[in-house]
Amino acid sequence: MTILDRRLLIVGGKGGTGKSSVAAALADLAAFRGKSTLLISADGSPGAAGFFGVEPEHEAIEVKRNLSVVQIDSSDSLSEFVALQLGPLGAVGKPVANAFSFVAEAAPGVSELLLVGKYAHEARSGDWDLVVVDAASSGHLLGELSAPKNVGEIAPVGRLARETGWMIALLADPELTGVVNVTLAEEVPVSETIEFIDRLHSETPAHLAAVVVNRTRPQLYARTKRAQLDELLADPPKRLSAGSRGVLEAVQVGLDRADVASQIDARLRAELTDATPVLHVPEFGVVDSIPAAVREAIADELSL
Amino acid sequence: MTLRQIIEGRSLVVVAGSGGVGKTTVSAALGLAAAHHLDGDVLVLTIDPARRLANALGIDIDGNEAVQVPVPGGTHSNLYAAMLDPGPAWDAMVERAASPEIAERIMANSVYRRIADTFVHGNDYAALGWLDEAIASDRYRLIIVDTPPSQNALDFFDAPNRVSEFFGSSLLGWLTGGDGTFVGGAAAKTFATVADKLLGAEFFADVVEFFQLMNSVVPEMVERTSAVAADLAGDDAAFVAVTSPATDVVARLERLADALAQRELTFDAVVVNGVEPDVFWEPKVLDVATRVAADTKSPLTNNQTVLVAPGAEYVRERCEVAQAQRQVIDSLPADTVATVPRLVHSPTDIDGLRRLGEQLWDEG
Repeated sequence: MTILDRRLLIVGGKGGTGKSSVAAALADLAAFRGKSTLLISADGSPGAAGFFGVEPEHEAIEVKRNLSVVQIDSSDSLSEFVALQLGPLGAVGKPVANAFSFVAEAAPGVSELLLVGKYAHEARSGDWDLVVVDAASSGHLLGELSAPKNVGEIAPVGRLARETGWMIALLADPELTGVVNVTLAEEVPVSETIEFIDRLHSETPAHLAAVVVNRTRPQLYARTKRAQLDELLADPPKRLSAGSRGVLEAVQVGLDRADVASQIDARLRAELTDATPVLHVPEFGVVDSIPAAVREAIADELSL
Repeated sequence: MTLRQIIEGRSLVVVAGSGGVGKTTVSAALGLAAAHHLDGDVLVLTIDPARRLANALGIDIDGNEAVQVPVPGGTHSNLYAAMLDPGPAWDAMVERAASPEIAERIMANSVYRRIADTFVHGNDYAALGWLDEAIASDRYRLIIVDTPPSQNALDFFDAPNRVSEFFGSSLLGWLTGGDGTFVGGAAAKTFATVADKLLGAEFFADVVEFFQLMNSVVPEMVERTSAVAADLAGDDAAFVAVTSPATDVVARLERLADALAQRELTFDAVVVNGVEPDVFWEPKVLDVATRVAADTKSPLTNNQTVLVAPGAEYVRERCEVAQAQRQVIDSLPADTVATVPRLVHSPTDIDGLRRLGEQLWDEG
């Protein structure tokens, strides 16, 4: 089973880690592998769906073979939910829906529940082989994933609460649903990933499918070559041009970055169970399309 | 203008930007520099649930009290740091605005108890309430506000309006009568039916009580926080945006600049965090790296060229990235642009932050 062999993949991570490009790449890869895929931008901006050259809307748009994109937010999900549950409200519908959204914003977990409900609904609809969600950043995502359980506890009656059972069952099944955390091989993002995984397990029913370490620095040298290079850099030839000295200085920066990254990577690996895949996506230079480059890298990592 | 010139004339600095760009680091670094150069106490307020500021500054912050930062070697003026804990900050606002009896009922309400976590812009609003007190205390020469990561930094300034709209909406006004019964016509009745069916009656009753209780305290709370929001957008405040040089992050910054322009606000400065260090910006370095990587006209000996080539290829790639970053930086919508190089170890202690602050202070 690869991470793509599920119904629902929820991609989260700290801001600035490239979470949206990873979500876009995973959806693109699944579509390329023949899965009918829906990519949902649920982070309040075009996000991942924006990478496919369209401004995502609230109705799914097919952007290429097997791949559609859609943007959702909690207020749309709310109107949709109210309409779905109660049928058309007629002339009073609009003010009622507005007033209800005010209350839903104040009611703990309700707007989060509606977001989860929306993507869980798409995942079980049978319309798609795979739903990939470009989700909110870590803290909000935990709130969303724990919402079905929390709302079920605070408002145990009511139709909304009755909807939570199937959502929890879907989220809790590791064969159906997986969470992907995107991080960087840097001190703070990795600390936050470790904290996120702890809280994912203690506060939500969902399971971790993979960690993607984005923008990793390649180890440029095997050990023996590295020792030779270190010697050269420690005692560079005399009478080099400014450009050559600069190159050696810059190579040293590259080596230091790779060393720090592999130390931090080892720290992350030590925190994870052996079964959790850790996918490495290299740092790209100037490329035409980051998601396409990320897609190729992830395909390599998954040996697809 | 340099950041020093921008900050010297102000009493507030608002630091804004998307998540993950280093806002907290830049705020703390500017705080250290300001404490070093300005007369009078400096406060850095952060609204960051990750508690990074406290770790970086080596202090233990608990609750909403500002704590003095022990700087090795001392600073010219005292530096204080505070981290917003939204729950107690909301309680403090309610206690100031409500009678003891109402305050007690509000705090016992189940909806209120969870509001700081779930209420839209609740953290922004709580921060404004906290700042109201900090400014009124007259203790600080300069307050640096590390704003919460958000899609849009304007949310911070809009928080009082949103709270006011939220509680003051005429819809809710006529839905919740003075005694907890529902008034109004067909729409109100339908609303109650919908809410009952969806949420359950008991929870809905708590929601209604919450709105009724809050209605009596919101006007005063909104008045205070609106004044603070106006201060933060006023002439006495500097607006510093932090961004990474990545094009999508800069695009968000540009959208923010457009939104600010509609309110006749501009960034006083932009700090670009994580640009490739100077060595990657040298045309000569790109030239030599390209030659070594391709092994054509390399200035190094054959053996050296073979050894260095993989590293040189990396250098060539990063030089190209640096050129792309320069274009991005040149197009930024601010007169003052300061850059922070991407370091192998980002600063995680006071010494590192102080060096960064000193470097930023005279940039621009």
